[in-house]
Amino acid sequence: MKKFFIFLILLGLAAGGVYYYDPGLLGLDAPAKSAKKVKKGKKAKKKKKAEKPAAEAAADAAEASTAQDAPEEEEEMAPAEPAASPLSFLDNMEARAKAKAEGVPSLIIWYGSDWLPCAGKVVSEWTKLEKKGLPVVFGQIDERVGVVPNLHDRDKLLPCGPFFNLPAAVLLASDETLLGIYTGKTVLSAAAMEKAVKQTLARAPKYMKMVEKARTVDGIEGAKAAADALDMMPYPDAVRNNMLKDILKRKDPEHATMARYLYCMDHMGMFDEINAVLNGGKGADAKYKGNERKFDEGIAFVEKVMKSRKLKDELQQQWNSGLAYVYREKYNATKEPALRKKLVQIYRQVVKIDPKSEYGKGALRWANYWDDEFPYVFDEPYYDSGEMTVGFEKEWRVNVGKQVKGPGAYSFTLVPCKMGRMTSKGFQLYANGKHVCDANEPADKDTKTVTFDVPRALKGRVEVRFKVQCFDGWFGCAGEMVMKKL
Amino acid sequence: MLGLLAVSLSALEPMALAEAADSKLALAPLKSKKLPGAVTKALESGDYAAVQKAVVEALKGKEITHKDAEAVHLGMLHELIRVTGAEVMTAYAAEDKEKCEFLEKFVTDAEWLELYMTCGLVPWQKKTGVDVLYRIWTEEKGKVQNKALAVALASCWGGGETWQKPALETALPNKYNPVRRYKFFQKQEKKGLLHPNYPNLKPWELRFVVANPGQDWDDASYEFAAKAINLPWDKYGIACWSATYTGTSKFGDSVQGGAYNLPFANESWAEATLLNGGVCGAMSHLGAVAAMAHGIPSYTCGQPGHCAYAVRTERGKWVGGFGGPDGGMHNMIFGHQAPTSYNLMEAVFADDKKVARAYRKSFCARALETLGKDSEAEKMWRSALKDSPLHPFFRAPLHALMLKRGVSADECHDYLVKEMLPHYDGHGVAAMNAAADLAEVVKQLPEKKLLHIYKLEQIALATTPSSWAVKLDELVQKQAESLQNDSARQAYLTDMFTAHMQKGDGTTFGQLLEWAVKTYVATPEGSKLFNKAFAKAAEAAGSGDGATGESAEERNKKMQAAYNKAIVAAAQARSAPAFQALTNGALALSKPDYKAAPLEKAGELAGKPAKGVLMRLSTTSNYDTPMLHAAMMTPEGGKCHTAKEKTPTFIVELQKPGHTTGCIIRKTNGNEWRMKRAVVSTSEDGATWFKRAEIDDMPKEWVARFPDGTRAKWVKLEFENAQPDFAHISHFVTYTR
Repeated sequence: MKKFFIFLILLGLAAGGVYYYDPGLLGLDAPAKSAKKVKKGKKAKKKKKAEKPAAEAAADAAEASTAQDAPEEEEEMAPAEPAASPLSFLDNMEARAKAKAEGVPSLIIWYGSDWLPCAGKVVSEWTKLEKKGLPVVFGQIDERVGVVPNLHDRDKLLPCGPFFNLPAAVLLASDETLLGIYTGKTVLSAAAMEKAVKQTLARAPKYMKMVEKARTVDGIEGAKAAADALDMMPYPDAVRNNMLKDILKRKDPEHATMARYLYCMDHMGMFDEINAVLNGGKGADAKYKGNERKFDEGIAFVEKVMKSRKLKDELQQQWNSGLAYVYREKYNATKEPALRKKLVQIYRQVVKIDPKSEYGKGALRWANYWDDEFPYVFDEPYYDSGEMTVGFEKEWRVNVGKQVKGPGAYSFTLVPCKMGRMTSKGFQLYANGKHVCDANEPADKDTKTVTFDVPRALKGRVEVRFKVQCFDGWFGCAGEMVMKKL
Repeated sequence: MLGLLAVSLSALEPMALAEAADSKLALAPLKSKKLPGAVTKALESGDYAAVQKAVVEALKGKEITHKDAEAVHLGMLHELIRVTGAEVMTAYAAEDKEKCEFLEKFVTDAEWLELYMTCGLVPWQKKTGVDVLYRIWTEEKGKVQNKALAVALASCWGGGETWQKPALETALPNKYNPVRRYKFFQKQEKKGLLHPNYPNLKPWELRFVVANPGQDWDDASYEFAAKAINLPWDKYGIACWSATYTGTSKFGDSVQGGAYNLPFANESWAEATLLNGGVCGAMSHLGAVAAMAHGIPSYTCGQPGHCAYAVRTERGKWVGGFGGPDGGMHNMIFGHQAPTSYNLMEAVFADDKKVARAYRKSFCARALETLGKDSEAEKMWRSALKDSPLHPFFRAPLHALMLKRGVSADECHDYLVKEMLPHYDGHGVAAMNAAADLAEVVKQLPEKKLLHIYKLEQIALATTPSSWAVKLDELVQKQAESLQNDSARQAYLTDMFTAHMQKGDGTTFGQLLEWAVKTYVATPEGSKLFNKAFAKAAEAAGSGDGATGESAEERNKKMQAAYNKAIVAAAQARSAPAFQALTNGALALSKPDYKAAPLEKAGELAGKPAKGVLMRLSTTSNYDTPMLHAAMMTPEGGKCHTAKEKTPTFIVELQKPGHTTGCIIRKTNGNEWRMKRAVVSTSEDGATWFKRAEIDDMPKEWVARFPDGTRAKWVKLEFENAQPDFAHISHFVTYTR
C-alpha cells in the first residue's frame, strides 16, 4: 500500500504537477474542506466599511502597497480555513527553469499551505487563475513549516528578496528579470491578478528593451537605461529590483544620472547624502555643524536631484520631505519666519501627492505642528507624545461638551501619566467658537488644573482652549484631560 | 483551554479531589462548594479583613491537607487576601456594589480562583489584578468565556510582584485596555487565526502572549500585526525584519529623539514601525508583537546597546529574534535573566499535574503558618517542594520558617547537600539564589563543609545553560567574601574552575573567569592566588581526578589546554578583560614557536590598525590555538582553526567605536584553497549587522574597503562555504581613522 502511494507521488512529480506530497492523499490530514465564502449585501458591506477601525483600515492600506490594486471584492474571505490542498504548481526553481526553456515569464506565488489562514482562498483563486490562459509558467513557494530554515535562505528565494506578509507573488521574465510584484488583496483574487499581470505584461516589451540596453551598453548610457526601466515600475517594486540597481551602481559611480539617489537608497540613504552636503562631508570627514552648515547648498542639491527625473508618488514625497528637512534645519538655525512658512508649504505639498500614504499622513502632522495658525484639536480626553511641540507653544482645544451639562463650577485637570516636562497656561472656555469665560487662574500661570465658573447652559461644541509646550522628547507628554463638575 | 480544567466536572464526586483518570494532563479542578457560613457572610459585607478572619476561624477546625477541597479553597482565599491586601480588597469592594458582587463571585468560584492563584505571579498589594478580572467579567456579563486568558491578563497587566508600579496605572486607557486585548484574542481564536497550540496554553504561558503593558506595545499594534505580518508558525523569530532598519525617519529625524515618531503618533507602534522602519528596539517589539498577535508566546529583552526578542515555538523551547533570546527579559515570572530565568520557569511548570498539586500544598502551608502551626507548615512546604523542587516561591518560605525556628548550621548543611541541591542540576543560578537565604547560618560552618556546599553549587552552575546576560558576579562575590582567608578562597576558585573545566559548556565559565580576573588579577597577591587556583584546576580537570605526579611537560600541556578552553570561554562570554588576561597568562606560560607571515598590503587602507580587545570565533577545534587569537587582530598576526562548518565566523570587538575604513584578512600559509566566498559586516551594537564588503574568490590577502562614514565597534567576517569546511586565517586587522 505504501509503495502504491509513493508511486502516486512519483507519478505526480513526473507529470510536473504535485511537487510536495499531499498529506491528505496519504491520509495524514483531515478531509479537505472548501473555503467558506460569505456573501455580503451592499448595505451590510457599506456599514462594515464605515465601522472599520483605523488600524484595520491602515493595515488594508499597507497590504495594497503596489500599484495593482484589487478590484472591489464581492466576497469576504472566510477566516481560518486551512488549505484544501497545496496548489499543483511547479516548485519555484523548476518553474523558473521551465520558463527559461520555453522563453516565457514565470509567475511565482509564495504562500503556505498548512498554516496560512487564507491559504484556502489562495488555492481556489490561483486554481482559477491558472485556467485564465495567461502566457506564464506557474510556480510556487509553498512554505510549510521547515521548508525555508532561516532569513538568509529566504533572502535568496527570489531576486527581489523575501516577503513577510504572505501570500505574495512575483512575475519574472524568462531570464529571471523582475517584472512585477503583487501583494495584499490582489493576490487573493484571480480577477485582480489576471488584470495586474496583463498590465505588467503589456509594458514588458518596452521595459525589457530598456533592461537589455542597461545590461549591454557600458557607462552612463547603460545606467540611464536602467533608470528608465526602473521608472516604468511602481516605486515599491523598483526599489526591490536588485539587478537594475546593481547596474546603476556599477555604471554610474559618480552619480552622473542622479538616478542612484532615487533608486539605490532608501530615505535613510537620502538623508545621509543631504546631511553630507550640509555638513561638508560624512562622519569624521564632516566640516561644519550647527549654524555653520551649508543649508543653501543642501537645498540646491535636493532640487537638482528632484529635477533630474520626473518623480512620481512616493519618490516625489520622499524628496520633498528631504527638501522640507533642509528648510526645517535652516529655520531651527536662523528662526526666519519665512522658512517656517516654506516648510509648512512643502509638507502640505507632500500631503497633496497622496494624503492616505504614510508620507501623506506624517507630513500632515508635521505641517500642523509647524503651522502657527493650526491648533491641536482633541475629541478624546487623552494626549500623547504626538501632540508635543518643542520650542514654541501650541493651542490645544479639548472637546468637553459631554462633561459640561449646565451652569456651575467645573474643574479641568491635566493628569500626566508620564513624567515629561510640560507647560500649560491661558485656559479659556469656548462654545461654538465663542469665548464663554476664562479659568480662575491667571492667564500666564503654568498650571495643570483650573476651575471654570460656567455662567449658563452651553450649546454646540464646548471646548477648553489653552497654550501648551512639551519639552520632553520621548513619550514625555502623555496623559488624560479630566473635566468634572464640582 | 481553561487551564487546569482538563477533565469533565461531571466525572467528579462532589468535593472529591481524586486525580483525574488521565492524570498525566492535570489535576482535576477544584469544584466550587458553598463556603462556610461565616465566610459567606463576611464576603457579602465586602470587609476582607473580616473574610480573612472568618477563613482562619473556619480553617482552625479542619485537618488541612491538599486533598481536602474546602481546605484548599479556604487556603487559596486566604492567600489571595494576603497577597492582594485585605485593605485593598475592602476598599475595592466599597467602590461600588457590582465590584463587591464580583469579588464574592470570583472568590467562591474555586476553579477560577485556582487559575489565578497558580498563574505564576499574583499582583502584590494592588487592586489592579482583580480589577482586570472585574472588567472582563462585566464585559462578558458575568460569564467569562476564557478564564485562563483573563487571569493571564490580570496577572501580567496587574503588575504587583513584577512591577512595583503596575503599568496599568500609567498606561493611557485608549492604548492599553485589558478588555480590548482579551476580546482581540477571543476573536482571533474564534477565527482560527492563532497558533494551533494556543488553546493548550496555561495562564502562566499566556502571560507571554498578552504581554507586559509596561514594556510592550499597544492594543492597536496587536490588531495591526495580526493582519500585516503573516509567516509560517516557526518563522516569527525573523518577523522583526518585516520593517526596514533605519535610524532616520521619513522626515529626517533621528530615532534617538522624540521627533522620530511624532508624525506617526496617530498610528499604532506596529504600524508606524512597519511602514517607517526603526532600529533594534522598535524592530524587536514588532517581531514580538507579530508573534504574540498570532498566539505565540514571546518577550522582548534588553541587551547592552541593543534590544532583542524571543519566541517560544514549543514548550520549553525559546528561540531568539534579532539577537535574542538572551538578555534582560521584559516579561518574566522568576527573574529577568535569559536564559536561566526562563529555563527555571519552564522547569517549574513543566509538569502540569505536579505543579498544580504543589500549589495546593502551598496554600495549605500558608494557612498552617497563619494558624501558628509552623512545624506542620514546614512539612507542608517540603511536601510541595517534593512535587515542584525548583519553585522559588515555595523554597523561600520554607527557608524563612527554618530560620524562624533557629535552624543550625549543620542542619542547613545536610538540608542543602542532601535535600535541595541534588534537584538543581542545570539550574545553578536558582540554586545559588535559593541557598543565599541561608547564607548567614551556613557561613558558621567549618571551612571544609562550607566549601563543599559551594562546590556543589558550582557543579550545578557548570551544567546550567547560560549566557553573557546572566549576572553571576554578586552571587560569587558574596560566597568569596564569606571565606575567611586566602587559602580558602584559592580552594574556592579551584573548585569553581575545576567544575567548569570538567562539565561546563563554557558560557558560565567565561563569566566566572571575568569576575575572577577583575577581582584577583589586579594585585600581585591576587594574581598569584588566581594562577595557583587555575593551575590546580587545570591539573584536576585534565586528569579527571586531580592526580599529581606528572612530568613538567605534561603539566604544561594540561595548563595550555586549560588556558585555551578558558580563552574560548571568555570570548564566548564576551569578556574582553578575561580574554586578554588569559591570553597573556597563556603566552607567559609558553609562547608557541610560531610567526605569522607579514601583511603584504598593510599600506593600502587609510587610517591605522585599530586596537581589538576581543576575537570571537564561531567554533574551535582540536587544532586551534586560542592563545593566538588576539594576535590575529594585530599586523603581527596570529592563527586559528575553526571546526568544519558552513559559515565559519570571526567577530572582532574594537576597543572603542570609530570610523572604520576597512580591514585586511589574510589566510594562513598552506590553506589558500579554502575560504572562497567571504563577507565582512560591521555593527555598532554587536547585534545589528550591515554588510560592508564581499568577495566570491578571496585571495590570499584581501583588503576589504568599507563605504565612507562606516562607524563600527564590531567587525564580522563570514566565510560562506558550499560545503562545511575549516577556516584558518592569520590576520583580521581593522583600520580606523
